[in-house]
Amino acid sequence: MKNLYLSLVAYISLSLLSINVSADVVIIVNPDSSVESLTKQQITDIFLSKAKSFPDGSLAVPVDLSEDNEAREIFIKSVLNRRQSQIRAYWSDLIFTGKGSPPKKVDFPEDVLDLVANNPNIVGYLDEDEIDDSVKVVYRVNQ
Amino acid sequence: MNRGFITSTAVIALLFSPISAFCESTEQLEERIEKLEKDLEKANKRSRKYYDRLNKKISNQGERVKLNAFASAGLAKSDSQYSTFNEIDETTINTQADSILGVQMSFQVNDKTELTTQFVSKGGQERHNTRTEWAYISYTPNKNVKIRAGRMRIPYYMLSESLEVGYSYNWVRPPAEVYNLTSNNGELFDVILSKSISSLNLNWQIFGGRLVESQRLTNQQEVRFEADDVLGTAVYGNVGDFSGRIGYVTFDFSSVNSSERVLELTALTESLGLGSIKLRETKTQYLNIGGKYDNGKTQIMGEFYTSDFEDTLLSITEGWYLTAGYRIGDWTPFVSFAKVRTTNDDDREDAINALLNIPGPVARSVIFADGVPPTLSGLPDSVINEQARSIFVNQVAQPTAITMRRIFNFRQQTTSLGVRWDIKPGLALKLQVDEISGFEDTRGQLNVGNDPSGLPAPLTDDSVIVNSLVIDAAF
Repeated sequence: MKNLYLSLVAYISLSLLSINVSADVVIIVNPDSSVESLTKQQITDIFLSKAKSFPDGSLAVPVDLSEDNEAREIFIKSVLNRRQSQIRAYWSDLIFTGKGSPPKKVDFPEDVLDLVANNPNIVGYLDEDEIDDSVKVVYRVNQ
Repeated sequence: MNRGFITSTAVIALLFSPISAFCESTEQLEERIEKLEKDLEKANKRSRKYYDRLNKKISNQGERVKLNAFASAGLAKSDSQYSTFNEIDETTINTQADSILGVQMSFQVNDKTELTTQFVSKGGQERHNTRTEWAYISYTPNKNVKIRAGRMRIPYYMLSESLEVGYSYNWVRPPAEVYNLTSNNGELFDVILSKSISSLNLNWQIFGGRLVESQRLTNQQEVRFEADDVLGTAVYGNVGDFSGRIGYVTFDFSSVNSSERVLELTALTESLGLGSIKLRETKTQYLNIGGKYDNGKTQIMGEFYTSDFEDTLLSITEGWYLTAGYRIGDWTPFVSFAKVRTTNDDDREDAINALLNIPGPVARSVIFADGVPPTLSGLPDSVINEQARSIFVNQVAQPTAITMRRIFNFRQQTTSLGVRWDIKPGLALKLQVDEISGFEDTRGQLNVGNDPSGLPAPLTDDSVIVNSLVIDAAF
């Protein structure tokens, strides 16, 4: 019984630890953007190309990370509420009917940071550890 | 004052002052180092930006050409030896009905202009003849406007444009009760206007052009339609996980190349003033409404359409489907129900009754158009008329009644159970069982051969089970 209790404590503290270890994923825009915060739905609409602009009406251009990126998995799961295969199915519909194309993908987090820091229309997502004050956080994924 | 004291104080002061001075400069140095580091970082960033830009220029050259493809390969078998659905029957495992390959290339001319072509090769009735499904130029003057022109699929219904991309939906194939047009292409232009109002994202599509369509009737007759005044519109959009679409298409067929039988019937019904079974110069309208809910786990989708062809005895139909699925990990089990019926059976029944009760003199003018045969000459008019009427009923009215009731009237419903397994992104396997029934003495959308007299044979199945397996891919 004591062993069970101990292992339970160990498990809980370990799981708490793992939350601390993996940083949050944040949605970022350019500091010059008038956008201060976005809702999950607004982010979803922009990243699925359903909305072409930010709530203030300015052009919104999402930028995606390549598929092997951990932040992408978290973003798709926690913000878009989908799985990678569902996202693929969604885009296959739009690609083959000419109604839309998925956001441009970049390979490295620094590229996202760089693009967002230099263009007020771009919105991206990154692991919190990857960002600096050259960008503005408008949504934080609570894991 | 003691000199020694002064000296020692001076020494101590000397000893300590540089230390304190050094202490201060350490902080300053740290600050300076920090500042230098920041400067260096900025400089690094700047140079990286420069290289990035160069790299982007290079990679943009590559990104100007996009290549995508989709493919489906399926197996299907039904339990009927008397009828076929999509050429699927009981005798063999059909490997063609659901097999398809599509390749799409697009070339970004500049920021706003893109050229796209899509080639599709389909099995089943099309025998893998490669078609140019899409070939258009698109121009996007700003984020809210898209203009396209060229060869495109006609957006009749919610899924009409993406019908062939099996990977984009859960079924093995979309419900035949709604998606029963075999060809959907035209030379079109369209304008898509997009606008977001709060959380509502709206799109308004306006399109027009001409269509050349080959449609296979349920009796396997190939009919070719042409219309050069296609006009339509669709409004679609979403609020969160809810999306919907309403669409309307109208056109007048300018030319219809019908089969001989249809031409004969056309001439006859027209001469008797019963309405036409041709579609030429017939105002044709399709109205469709559809909706979808998808929160990533629960998926519900439904659609209804109704069509109207002015002054025709050919089939006018309406149909709908409702499907729901629930995703558990990589598996999405789903159920689906679809129904279709012809809505102008009464018009045909009126025509049939008129034909069966044809007045003797009218029958005589049709049957003995070239003159009364010698065997009957000299007999009273009433006898000749009665003879003509009897020949007409047996040789014309009865066969027409059978053809109209069995081919032009139809009712059908399909209940489907299936599961989609997402093996990995871009690859899915689906299993589906359909029970097709509700024919109500019609042949539904099934194909049945002719009886020995050459007339459409009745359907003997009460229900038909179709088992299907398909692998869908999208690259």
